[in-house]
Amino acid sequence: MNKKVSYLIVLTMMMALILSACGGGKKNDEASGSSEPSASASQSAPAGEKAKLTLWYWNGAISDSSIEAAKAKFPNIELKAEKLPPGDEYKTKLKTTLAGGGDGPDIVAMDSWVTEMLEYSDKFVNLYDQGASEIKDQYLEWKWNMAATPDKKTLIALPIDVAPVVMFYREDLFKQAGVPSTPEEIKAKVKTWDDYIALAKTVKEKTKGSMGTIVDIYRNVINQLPKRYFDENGNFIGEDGHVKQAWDTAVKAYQSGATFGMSSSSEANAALNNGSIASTIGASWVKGDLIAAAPDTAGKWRIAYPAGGVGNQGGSFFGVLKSTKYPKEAYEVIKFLVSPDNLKKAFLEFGNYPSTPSVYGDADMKQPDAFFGNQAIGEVFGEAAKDVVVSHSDPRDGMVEDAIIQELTLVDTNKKDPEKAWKDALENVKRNLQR
Amino acid sequence: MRSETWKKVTIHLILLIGVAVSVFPFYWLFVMSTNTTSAVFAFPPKLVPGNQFWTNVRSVWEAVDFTQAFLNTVFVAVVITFFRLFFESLAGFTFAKYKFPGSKVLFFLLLATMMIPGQLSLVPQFMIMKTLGWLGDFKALIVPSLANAFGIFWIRQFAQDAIHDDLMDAGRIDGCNNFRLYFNVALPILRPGLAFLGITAFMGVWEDYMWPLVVLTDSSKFTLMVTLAQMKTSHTANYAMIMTGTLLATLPLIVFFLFVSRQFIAGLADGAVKS
Repeated sequence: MNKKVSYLIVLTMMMALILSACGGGKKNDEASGSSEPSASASQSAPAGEKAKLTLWYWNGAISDSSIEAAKAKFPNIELKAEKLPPGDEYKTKLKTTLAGGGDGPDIVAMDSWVTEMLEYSDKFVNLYDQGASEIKDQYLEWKWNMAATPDKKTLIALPIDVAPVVMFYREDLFKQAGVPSTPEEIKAKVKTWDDYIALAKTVKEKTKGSMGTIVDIYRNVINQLPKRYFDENGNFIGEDGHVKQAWDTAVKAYQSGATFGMSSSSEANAALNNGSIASTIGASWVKGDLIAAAPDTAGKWRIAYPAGGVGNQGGSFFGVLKSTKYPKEAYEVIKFLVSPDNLKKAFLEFGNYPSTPSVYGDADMKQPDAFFGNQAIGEVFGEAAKDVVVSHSDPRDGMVEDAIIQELTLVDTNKKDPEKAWKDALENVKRNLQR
Repeated sequence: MRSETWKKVTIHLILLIGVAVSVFPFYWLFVMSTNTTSAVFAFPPKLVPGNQFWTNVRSVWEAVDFTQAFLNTVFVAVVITFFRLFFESLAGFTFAKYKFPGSKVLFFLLLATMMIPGQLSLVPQFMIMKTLGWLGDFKALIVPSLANAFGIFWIRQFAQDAIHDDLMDAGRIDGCNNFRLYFNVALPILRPGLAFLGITAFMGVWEDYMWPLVVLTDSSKFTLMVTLAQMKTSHTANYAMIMTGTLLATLPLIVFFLFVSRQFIAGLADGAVKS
């Protein structure tokens, strides 16, 4: 009997707990609202009340101090910034909210997948209506256009940062191999992939330091091209020759013997630290990975303008959702957050490179970086950022690229014949596209 | 005798290898949480603990509201586990011991819900929560999880073998109504099965990520898994800090498991053998 009573008591307590926890929010709302609950729902916020804006972003999308600065700058706006998990998870949450029609946030950060969101441009405030044309000149044109619909009439987001793809290399190893070793020499003499592969071959023979893997090279090349796998109408254009050209370049680099073998990421990290990798082409944010992965090589790395042109890999945007009650205020907030000064702050704090060329020449953007032998690395990023080539992206790009890379990997790991691998890759891609 | 000893040695050797393999990830998590991020990247990997643990803990504390997330997760996990045990044992017991019109159809429908992949229901369930106005509230986490087809199925299978009809009759003769048959006769017998169910339910809530991520909107209500992911950045991440957070988030689960593991293992075995 006693047992039963105690069970019941626990049950009642749990019930009370769950009810009080769940009901809490509502009660507060009612208490703070007007004295006539029936009328309060239809009334808009009284004049003088703060505009409440919710902003979604992820760690490192924008400087937290910029957000604090925005709160201080707009006293009549109550800005609530929610830091969410980055990457695909963030995208899933945003897409579910858009699809489900939930009371989403007012302002959302988006990564370079902003192009996928153009499909849902009706869910976003057209920032041209808020006067965005006035600030267009401050931003890199290619970056700005990524968030505009093809007819250029609707703009769903303002640019935050860019991630130009540059060349990271070991100056000491290049010197030892007797190849061009200053950033200026490299930019002048290593212009094409053929130049780079020849250089990497010499470096490998003289120092044992490789270039990136066969897959890295493929990604680098495809990223530098103005076309990728689909055209604006969604047609597959992977057989038009440019993809094969990227494939052949990667195979050529592999056959020269200069590429690093396919391996786990921890082995690759170790290779960066022990001199087995002498150069790699990567986005500006690779800098952070390099510093973390290769502490023993501090001072020996340099950054140069990449051979074959500049691709872009990453970089975010801020958009305003149409469900917001305060489109004007939201626009003012994002305009402030992506102002050249605030973007510079992000570069100085954690290395995100601004999309506003006006600050590239600033003295603090050219500060020497000790890890890179006191090179003013901001200068190289700035040069590269202006020359970025972007291609049309499609949600199916990842699937196509995975199928191609799967076969390309076999060329290295299983010594598969490159022509046979290319045929198989194309076949796999086409089969996947038919599904 | 000699062969017996050899047998024992072999068995223990195999067990030792098994333990090493399954404990190693936890050990390495611990090693990483006591080192710097550079050490995490090192190759060959570092295998001895470092002295950075408290620095990393401090970074976790500075980066996210870990305590709040911990309390949120405990609250949601305890409530869900409690109600799942109640509802699922009640339903499972009923399906096992009562014949009523439509019981077979209902049970089949219940099993059918297990065949639907969870990802498919993400958007529809989100829309339901939106219509109910529960987005951003713990209700959106708790209510859809209050009963689960697997749990009912599990308890039904358990109850069918464990509770004898004679016992039910004896209870009825003693004047038990249906609820008292459940509460006083069935529940005590179902206890090992409930222990297993309780642990899986608790762990399920603890580890759930996608649903809380999608329905919670306010970071003060985030659960541990979402909070851990908050620490990630799009590119370079402080892995030492993330590993420390993961360790801190996993520890309570390990402690909880150690306390109830006896019941857990008993429950597993009971379900496996028919009497």
